[in-house]
Amino acid sequence: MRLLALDEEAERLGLQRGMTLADARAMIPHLAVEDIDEAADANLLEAVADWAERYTPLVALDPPNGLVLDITGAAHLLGGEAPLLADLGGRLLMQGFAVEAAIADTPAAAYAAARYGNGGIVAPGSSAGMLSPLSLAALRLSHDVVAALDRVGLKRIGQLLAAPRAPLAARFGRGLLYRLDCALGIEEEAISPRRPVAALVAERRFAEPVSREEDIAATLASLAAALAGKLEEIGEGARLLELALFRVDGAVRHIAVSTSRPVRAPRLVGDLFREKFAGLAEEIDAGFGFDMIRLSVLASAPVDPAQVDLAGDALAESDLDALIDRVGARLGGKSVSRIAACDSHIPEQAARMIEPNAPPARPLPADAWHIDPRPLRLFEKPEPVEAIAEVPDGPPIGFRWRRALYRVARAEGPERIGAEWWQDHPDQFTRDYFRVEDAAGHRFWLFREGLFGRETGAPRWYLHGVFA
Amino acid sequence: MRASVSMAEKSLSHLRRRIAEIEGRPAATMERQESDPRPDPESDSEGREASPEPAFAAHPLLARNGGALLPFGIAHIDRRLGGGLARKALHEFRSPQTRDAGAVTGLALALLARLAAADRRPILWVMERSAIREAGLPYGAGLAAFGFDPGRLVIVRVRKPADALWVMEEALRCRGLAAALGEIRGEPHDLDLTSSRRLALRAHETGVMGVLLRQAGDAMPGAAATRWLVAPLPASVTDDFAAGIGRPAWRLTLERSRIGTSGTFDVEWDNDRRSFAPLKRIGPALPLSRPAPAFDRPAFPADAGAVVALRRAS
Repeated sequence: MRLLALDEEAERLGLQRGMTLADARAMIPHLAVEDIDEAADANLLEAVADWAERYTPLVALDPPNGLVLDITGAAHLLGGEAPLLADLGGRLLMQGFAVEAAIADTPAAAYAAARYGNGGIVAPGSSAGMLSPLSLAALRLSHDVVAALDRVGLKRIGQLLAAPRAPLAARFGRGLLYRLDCALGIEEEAISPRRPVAALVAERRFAEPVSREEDIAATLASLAAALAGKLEEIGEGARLLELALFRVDGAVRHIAVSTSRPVRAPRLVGDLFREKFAGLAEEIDAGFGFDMIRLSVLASAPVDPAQVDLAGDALAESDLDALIDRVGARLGGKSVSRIAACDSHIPEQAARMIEPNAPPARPLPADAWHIDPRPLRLFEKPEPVEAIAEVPDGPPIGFRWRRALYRVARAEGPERIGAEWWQDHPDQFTRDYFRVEDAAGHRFWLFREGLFGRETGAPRWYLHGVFA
Repeated sequence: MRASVSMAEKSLSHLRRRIAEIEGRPAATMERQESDPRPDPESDSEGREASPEPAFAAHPLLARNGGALLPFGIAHIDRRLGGGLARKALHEFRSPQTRDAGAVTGLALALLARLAAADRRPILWVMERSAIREAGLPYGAGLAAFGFDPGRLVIVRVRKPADALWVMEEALRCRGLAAALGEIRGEPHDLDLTSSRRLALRAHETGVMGVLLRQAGDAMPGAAATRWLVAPLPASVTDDFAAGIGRPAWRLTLERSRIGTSGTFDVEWDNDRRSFAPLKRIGPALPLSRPAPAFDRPAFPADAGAVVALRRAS
């Protein structure tokens, strides 16, 4: 068992990474040791990455213990690169992490500076100077390439920079030069952010952390107003909105809301989030408060100008749309549906539930619905019943459903519905449907599955639906 | 003597009108029970604020009362209701057992089909998960065959009765709907007098008709304008198919109404004309109607061992 990570005190006392546990214990008997938990470490890295999104949405993981942030254009929000670095380092230190951070022109140069160099801010254009004294491992080359270069006598990046390029490429492959060029900025290397980058973002930082619901709601309203202005300029509305709440202690909570039609009115956005908060399983824990709140539009769509009249009031149809969105926000998107006809003779596939605002897949004629008698309500799965019926294809004379016995007074049928022969399902049987009524007037839709004798020796009976 | 009696009657009717105004319902309904049904010009303590949208007032179905009432179309029932079911109110239909779920659904949808003929707006149906499990989901083909356009329905499926009541209240506030149908099973705690009164108030404010469908429920106190118990009846025989099952038929019992009437009515539903009709004769309860045996089959079934199609449902 070897040591993989040490804290400052252990390093000060002379322990090193890679040392065996026995040696370490021999040196320091009262050493506190924990087993490595890679999953927990990965989760922690993800949590820190979530937190780091307060600086920029372009955050990528550099496992096992690093992050890469693309702060192009984001540094001015905190007053410059130096304040940003200080803020980042300071906050992470407060959360209990030991940090090595660097800002440079390119991801590769920043990686090298942070892990192998002294960190800090590398002035634009001076990457070469910073990289020169560093060892070749800082370029993230593979072990065999580093070993091969070492055998030739190239140990520092500065030597590589001085050497002629063509022989290097010929001997060690183009990958080596690619890495070098990435570090210097000659080749583009982009990081791939963990989460989708929003089209529009509005955020607000607080000097004094907020935790009261009213304050959050008020902030949400003003952020929504800021976004509404921008959305109106491009003539679009939001279909997917995400609210990110950044706590002072580093935890981040993301809450998303989707709508069936594009919205931008701040009042509607506020309503949707209010319903979403009400429907959350657990309360939002503010901890010591939130010091940043960000509202992003992750998906948008063009707004039909006919939906809003001159006064900007919602018309009756969009009243219903707003209701559908609110119910969806609170209870989940799948809870609201409409009924659409499908082109199938199999009863359970003749109608299906679709999203409320989905356009019909294919326009079906007005009389698309079957004209034969069909039950008002259909069970999602036909319920098995025990029935007594004349063979081979007589109607049932009595059946037991859910432990209750029913005696059939009248029956209509059979209506024979065969399986879809063009689909190759050998175990799908023909069904004979009967509409039966018992003495009291209950009307049911039963079917016998499997033709007696021809398809099966023991047909089963099911109850598929109830009539009015 | 006579003068004082008639004076007493006058002040009594004046008092009735005043109470009706305060409570916000048609005053003339109370006096009309005894006399013939005719459009009462004084019934606009309700009509004044109804301000019917042109779509409904023009429809012959609702023209008589200015769009405020949905009549059954059967004279004696409408008389008992004072013209019909109030549209700006909550109505409750319940069935005592799960097996009657189809019947109570059918009656509610029949009424809403009549409403849908006059009002173009969609209808929202919120269903509790246990109700779906016990009686099934609405079936598009069946609704169409019944006379109700399934494209008008917006269905909301929820898990708890509290959620169902919340959705219903929100739906009753939405002016884009013609009616909101809430299906609840049993007697949940959340459905008490307070919540039912809130629903009734919402319906009254916006004019969205509220219908509470109670599956397998006992009578409970509530603020619904009318409370009905629905039981199925054997269908009568249609003229052209003697052995067949005719039109859906139900026995409706008006248990409570705002105006204090009650009664039991047997009706059947004609889905082509979208109208109710009084049930003339109850269909044969017994004997068993079996189809004639086929003559081309042998008298005895082929030996197949245990022939009777009994299978343990497991």
